[in-house]
Formats: sequence, structure tokens, C-alpha cells
Amino acid sequence: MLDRKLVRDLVGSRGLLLAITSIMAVGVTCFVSFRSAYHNLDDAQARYYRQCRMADFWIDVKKVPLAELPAVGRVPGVEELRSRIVFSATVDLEAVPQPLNCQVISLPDRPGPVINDIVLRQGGYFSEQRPDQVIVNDAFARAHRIYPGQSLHLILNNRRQPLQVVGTAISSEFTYLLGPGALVPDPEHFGVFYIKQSYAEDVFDFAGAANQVVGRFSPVDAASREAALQRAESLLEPFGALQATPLSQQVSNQFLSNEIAGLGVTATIIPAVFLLVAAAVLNVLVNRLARQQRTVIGTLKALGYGDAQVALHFLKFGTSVGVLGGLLGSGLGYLAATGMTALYRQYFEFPDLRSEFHWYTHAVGMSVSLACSVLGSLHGAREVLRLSPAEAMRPERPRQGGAIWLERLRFVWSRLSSGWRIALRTVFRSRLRTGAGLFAAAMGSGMLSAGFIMLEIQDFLLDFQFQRIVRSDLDLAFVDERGREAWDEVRSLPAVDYSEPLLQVGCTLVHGPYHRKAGVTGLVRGSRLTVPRDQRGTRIEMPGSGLVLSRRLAEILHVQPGDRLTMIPTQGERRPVETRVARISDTYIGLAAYAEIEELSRLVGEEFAMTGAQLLIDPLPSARLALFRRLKETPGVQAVVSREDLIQSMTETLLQNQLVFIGMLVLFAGVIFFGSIVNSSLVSLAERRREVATLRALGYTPWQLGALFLRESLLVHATGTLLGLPCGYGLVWAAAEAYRTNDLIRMPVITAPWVWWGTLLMALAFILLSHLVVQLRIHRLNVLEALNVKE
Amino acid sequence: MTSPASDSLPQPLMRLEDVGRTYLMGEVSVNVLRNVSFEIRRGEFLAIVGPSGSGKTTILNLIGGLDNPTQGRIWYAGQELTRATPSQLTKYRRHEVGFVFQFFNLVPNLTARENVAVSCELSRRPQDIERVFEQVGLTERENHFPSQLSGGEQQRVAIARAVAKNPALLLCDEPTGSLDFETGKRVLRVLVDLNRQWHKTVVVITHNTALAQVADRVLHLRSGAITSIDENAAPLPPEEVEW
Repeated sequence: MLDRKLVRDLVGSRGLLLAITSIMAVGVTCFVSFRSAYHNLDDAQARYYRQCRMADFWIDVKKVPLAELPAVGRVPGVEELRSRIVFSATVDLEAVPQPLNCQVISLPDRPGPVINDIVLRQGGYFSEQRPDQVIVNDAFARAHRIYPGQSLHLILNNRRQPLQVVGTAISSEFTYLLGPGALVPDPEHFGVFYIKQSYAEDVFDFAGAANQVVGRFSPVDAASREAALQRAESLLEPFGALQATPLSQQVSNQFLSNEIAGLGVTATIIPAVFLLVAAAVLNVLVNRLARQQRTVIGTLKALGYGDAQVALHFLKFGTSVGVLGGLLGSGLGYLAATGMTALYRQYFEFPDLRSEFHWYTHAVGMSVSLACSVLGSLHGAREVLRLSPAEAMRPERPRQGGAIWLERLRFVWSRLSSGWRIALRTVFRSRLRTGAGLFAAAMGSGMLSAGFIMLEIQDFLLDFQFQRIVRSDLDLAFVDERGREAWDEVRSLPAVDYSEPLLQVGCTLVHGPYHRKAGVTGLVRGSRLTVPRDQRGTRIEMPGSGLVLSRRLAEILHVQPGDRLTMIPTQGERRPVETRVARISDTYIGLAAYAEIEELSRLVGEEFAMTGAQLLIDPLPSARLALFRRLKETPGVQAVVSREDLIQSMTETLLQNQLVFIGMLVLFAGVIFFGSIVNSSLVSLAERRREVATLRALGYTPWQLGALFLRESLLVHATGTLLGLPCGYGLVWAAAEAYRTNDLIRMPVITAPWVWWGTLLMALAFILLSHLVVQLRIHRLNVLEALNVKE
Repeated sequence: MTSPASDSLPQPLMRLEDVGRTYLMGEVSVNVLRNVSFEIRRGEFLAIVGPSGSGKTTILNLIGGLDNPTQGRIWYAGQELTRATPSQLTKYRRHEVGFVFQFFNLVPNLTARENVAVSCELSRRPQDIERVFEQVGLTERENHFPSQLSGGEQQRVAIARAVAKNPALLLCDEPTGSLDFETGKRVLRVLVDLNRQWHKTVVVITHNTALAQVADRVLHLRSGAITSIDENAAPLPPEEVEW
């Protein structure tokens, strides 16, 4: 019989239950979707790395004879090695005016289970037919409609080489493929080309030699791996070891692993917020229900129902929300995970990234949802359950009147209208409801403001890195170090309005026990196309002597301006030179270091050297075409980066993401605000039906009465919204802290007035929108019936 | 609202003409009021008396503009209430009527004074709150909350609230119904004083026939129909009423 009562109670409060269920469902949806996406990506990564036999480390060298490698292979902890030839190059596609950048990597002439293997997508592996066969990375091939059987031209070792495409492929080391200077994959402008080992040896004059060693560790602990890598690197030192990269620092792996880790964190934080809000709101509703039914409870107890049975009754009421929210969230979560996984396929190239049903995740989501509903309902009903039957059967004592502390501020209080007084007293007396409302609004606004701050940071980062630090139209990189005459050549290229030389020197910076490999960029004094800046965006002038280090690099090396450090170039004579830290600059991507170009040239033993140039070019399309045509024919150019393309591809991708992100954010925050406000206002209205009806009888209009409730809602939820602003800021700050020691990318915490105004306006919109539901109820209130309610 | 067609006598404050009210309770229709016609005179103290279920509250709701009859017409000061829109009815309640409920219906969150102020805020010509509190004898208690007041005091606050917006008509639903004898008499005294000194038209509905002795006229109701309307030549002062 109690179950029949339960069903009727549920039907009776269906509107409110729907509001709470939706909050709970969103929580479970977030949990299931983020967690499933996490598992999908994590599993796909593990499978893919196994399939391709992903390397544990990469060591770049100038040129090492293959005969030296067995010694490296014998280093304890190193299980397996492969040498290969890797070069940056440009691609000349007939349909594309500008030269495109690529990486050329050698693969064994015959297929075999090698480290960093490829997975063929179209066509086949190399054949014996001809030496100049090439396998193109699938995304680039798709972007340019390149199919097996076609031919294309690569500029290899300063020679334009025709190659025949035999297949397209993907590889785990390029799951997230970035071109020079880019932050998001741009398959239209950057590709990977696999060529035969024999052909590579031939075309790069590398017979019996290699310039990259990739390897796998035997199953040993992290410390032994680090030691093994150091040992291997030192063995290769005589051959110009440029850089040793463990898997954890490999760019593609870093982006993918960061994303997976981020999903793991998101899958915890966001659902927790929703489920806690749902529990708090459910608490309010069950509390109201129990108080409303106290005589029923008293009667049931008097009839002989035990405390446990009555408690179970309310528990069932709450758990039905948990079950419904859990089921709904489970289903929606699976769909959302499928959508997210599909979105990830746009960024990450996997052979089989699929959305799977992770039953464990769904079970956890369901359990947490149930636990929250049990918590919310038991806590809500406990007050009434504690009453003795006789006490419960008596009508509830009238709610306590009495002054609130605010009334002591007579100056303020005496100026308030009765409406504000009613609202303030209700807010201060209904502590449970006010608390739940404050919490929900704070979480909603925290979520909104954190999201908005992230957008602001993204904009700031893009602007800072791609508009303020780097300001060129086109960047060129040369195959080899060149002298001053190269600058003259660059200046004489068509359409070049202005140019500055660049010198990139890979080196190890040493300060006492601290050392770090980094690229030092030589800039002309007063450079206009690369402008190092400090946090505030103020330009940092190149000092006459010494280095300008980025803040993170200075932290790693434990140096401050004025400190001396040793610089050991990884190329050339590799003679250690003493220099000093002149200034600290700020950059949020990578570990930049700058020096004056002539000073840097001298440090590496040259009078003037440059490895590339930055250009400002004539914006006329015909002028650009002429330049691109010339560049395609110019030997010695290794890479041509158009910053316009870079920024365009980046903003397109990020903008698309931003729209989805903002949509989700507003939807989620809306659910929290709406669910909480509608619930608390309707509970408040239900408790005060007679009061409302009396005021209607006195001559108050429904709008005037609505204003009473709106005042309460505003007091609670606007305050909660304000409290949520620092929460949002704190959340972003915590995220930025987590990235603070990241060498790849860091996050400044940037806010703007629109972040706060936007959050407040959104919150206000939600408050007003939710109030419409309450207003409608007031309009529909049957005054006569409400007046006859005996309390 | 439209004026009645002919009216040669001085206009009564209110007139009910052949009024009936039927409620649909599920599939059954209940005839709560049938063919009720009577007038309320300006400045009189009218008692509507009848056992429970006789239709008293329904009449009060109809003349208070809280409900509409299913049959017949009601005029107030020459205007037809039965044709009024909901917003016109709200205005009518706001400016012309003061309600006093059996269970007081005070806003628990407001002090006595603030409860009265809530009503004043609605009025174009409210009474002076001090004067109203003086009249109901609660000057000392005006800063107390309802939960800090006795039943009689709460009812006097409710009366103060009803009268403070300066309505012509005070409608009291069993005003002493939930009070003890002595307290009830004190409340009745307040109502009589408001009628005699402030010239308010007072309509009291009660099942207590003894109470009717203070009224100028008594309307007897049974099973939704008027059984008699008696003139009371010499109304008793409340203090002399016994029940």
C-alpha cells in the first residue's frame, strides 16, 4: 500500500522530480561520457602503440655510422634499436602554389615488425620495382587527394626528386601530427613521407649511416630507463647527438596523453559538481515532502509501521530519482561519448578509435547517482522520521518568527519594502534551501566563469604567441647554416617587403648541476618579426651580450638575470662557451631562448650565420604566387611556413571547438541553475500557498506576488553566482598550476571584464527564465483552495 | 462593469440577484448556493449565519471577488462584479474589500506592523498605521512576529491589516472561530467599533448564532438558500453577548 502512495507522490511532484532528475542525469552523462571517452582513447592508444611497436625513446644525431649502433644496443635497459634517416623537406604539389612542409622518414625496403612501424590505409608497402617509392601519411593524402599510383615531387637534399606513391599510412608516433610552429594538426600544410631506407641512404648521402635512433626499453623501472637513455645518448655524443627524447616528451604522445589525463580529471570534477547539487536539491524536496506529510507519517507509525519501513518509503522516493537520472545519464553518456570519440578522430589519427560500451563506467555512474539520491533523501527525511507518532500527528508548529541579524542595521532595514523584508527573512530562515541554492548557483557560475576564462586565455595565448611575439608573414628555414649572402638572397626574392635573419642553434645550457637542451634563436637587434616579451606584453630588447631566457627555462636551470651559464652547441665544434642570462621573457609554448644574432654567431664560432629568415611580403595574391614559385625552385630551403595559414587553420579548429564548448557550458550551467531555482522556488511556493492566496485576497496581483519569489531567488542565486566567480577563477588557477611545469605548453590566468559580466548576465537570464515557471504557477494558483488549506 | 438598469432608491453598497454557485467535484456537480438575492447596505453590520455546509463561505468568496457565481448577478456600488475581468477583481479586492480569515493568515515572516504595512502599500489612501494599531489595541505589540502573538492578537493584527488599506467593506470569515470566549469578544468589539466609529460596512459570517446579536441585520442560510433576513432593532454590545 505504501508503494501505491509512493507512485502517487512521485506523480504528484513530477515537475520537481524532473528538474532534479535532469541535474542528476547531466552529472551521470558527464561522468559516463568523459570516462568512456577516456577509456576509448586510452585503450586505442595502448592498442595503437602495441600495433606500431611505439618507441620508448628517440635520439637525433648529426650522422652516426651504423657500425656504432650495436654498442648502444648493448646498454643495459635498452632492448631494441632501429636507426633511420629523418629529414625535414618541402613538397612540391602541382595543384598547390606554395611549397608545403614535410618530414621524410626512412623505412626498411621490405616490410617487417620494426619500431615505429606504419599501419597501411591504402595501397601497399614498397615493392622491388623501383627505388623512388613513397608512402604518404593518410591525412595529408586525404587533404590533397593523393592516391597510390600518382607521383609527386619532394625537395630532398636540395634536389627536386620525383617519387611514386605506393600507399598511404598512419603511425602511432604521429597520432597528433604537428607541423613547425603549429598547435593543431594541419594536414593541408604538413605531411609525413616514408621512403625506402636504400633510397634515403642514396639521396641524402647517408650510405651506412643514420641520423636518428629509435629504441625500446626492456621492462625496467623509470630510473633505469632514464639512466639507459643518458648512457645511449653519451655513446652517440661523438656523432653529434642533438637531442634525446623519451616517450613522455615526444610531442604527439604528450598531446595525446595530456588529453587523456585531462579527460580523467574532467570525468571526476564536473560530475561531482552535478551530483552534489542534485543531492542538495533532492534534500530540499524530500525535506519538504516529509514535512508536508508529517501527519501521514505519524498516522502510519501509529498504525504500526516501523521507522525503517517509513524511512524506506522516502528512500524509494529519492532512489527513483537516482535510478531514473542514472539510466538517463547512462544512455545519454554513451551517445555523448560516441560523439566525443568521433570529434577526437578529427585530431588524432588512430587505426581504430571506436566508442565502446564500458559497463564498469556505467555501473559506477549508476551507483554514484544512487548513492547521491539516497544521501539526499535520507538527510531530507531524517527530521520528520525522528518524531514520535503523537508529535508527528499534530500539525507542525508555526514557523518561527523573529528578527534576523540584518534588522539590527536599522538604517538599512527601515528603508526596505515589505517585499524585501519577506524575502530576506525567508532566505535567512530557510537555511537548508538557501544553502542548496547558494551551492548550486555557485557551481553553475563557477562553471560558466571558468569556461569563459579558458576562452579568454585561449584568445590571449593565440594573440600573444602568434600576433605579438611572432609577427612575420612567412618563415623560411634553410637546410644548412648560411652566411650573410643568404640574407641578401632572401631580400631579393620577389614580393619580399622586409626580412630579418634567424639563427637557430641547438645547444645544451648548463648552470651548475642543472642542464637542459634547448634551441637558442638569434635575432637582429631591434627585431620586428620576432619580439620577445614579458608577462605584461612589453617588448624585451635584445641585449648586446647574453641570453634572453623564457621564464620556464630559467626555472629549470635555476638562473636569474645576471647569472652565468655554459652553452654547449650540439652542432659544429661543440665548444662550450660561457655566457650570461641577460633578461627573462615570457612565452607560453615551448622553452624559448634568444640572443643577438651576431653574438650567437660568434658563440658558435662564426662571424655571421643564419639558418632561416622571417619575411613580410606583399599581400597581393599575384605577388605571393611569384614568391612561392621562386621558393619552389630555390635549393636550400627546408621549410616554408605561412603564418597566415597557420593562424587560419588554428582559429578555424579552435573556433569550431569553442562553439561546441560554449554550447555545452551554457547547457550544463543552465541545467544546474534551472533545476535548482525551479525546485527551490516551487518548494517555497508550496510551503507558502496560503500566504500567497491571502495576499491575492488582499489585492496583490500575481505579478506582485511573483516579484516576492523573484526577490528571494535573486537574493540566493545572485549571491551564489557572485560566490561562484572566485570558484571559477580558482579552478582555472589550479589548472594553470598543473600546467606550470609543463615544458610544452603553459597557461597564464587571464581574465577580462566580459568574463564576469557574461557570467552574471547568463546567471540573471537563467534566474529570470526559471522564475517564469514559478510565475506561471502563481498565475494558476487556485486562491479559494489554497485559502482553505488547513495548516 | 455596468450599472443596473433601474434604481430609484439610494443605492445599496452591494446587491446579489438570483445568485447560484455550482461546483464540479469530479463527475458530480454540487449546488452550493441557489437563487440567493439580498443587499448589503452602506455602513451596516451584517451577520450571515448558518450551519456548516450552508454556503456561508461561498457567499463571502463571491462578494469578496474571490469567486464568480455560476448563475445570477452581483453589483457593487452600481458596478456589476459578475462582468469584471480578473484584473478588475484584483483592483476591487485591493481598494474596496478587507478580508479577515478564521485562521488569521498572517505572513509569518513579517512583524505585526509589517503585516499591516503590506496591505497599506497596496492602497491609494491608506489609514495611518499608528491609528489602526491604536484602534485594535495592539500598539505595544506591533513589532512582534505572528508566532510571538496570541490567537486573539493575531486576529486583531489581521483586522488591522484588513482595515489599514481603508476599504469600504470588511469581510470576516468566522473571525472568532478559532478563539476562546473572552478573546472572541475582544475581537468582536474591534469589529463593532470599526463599524460604528469608522463607518465601515462589516459582513461577518459565522455558525455561532449568539454572535449575530451584535449585528444590525442577520441573514440566515441553510443548504445554500436564504431562510430569513432579520432586522435587529437593538444590537447588543459585544461584552453582553454570551455563547
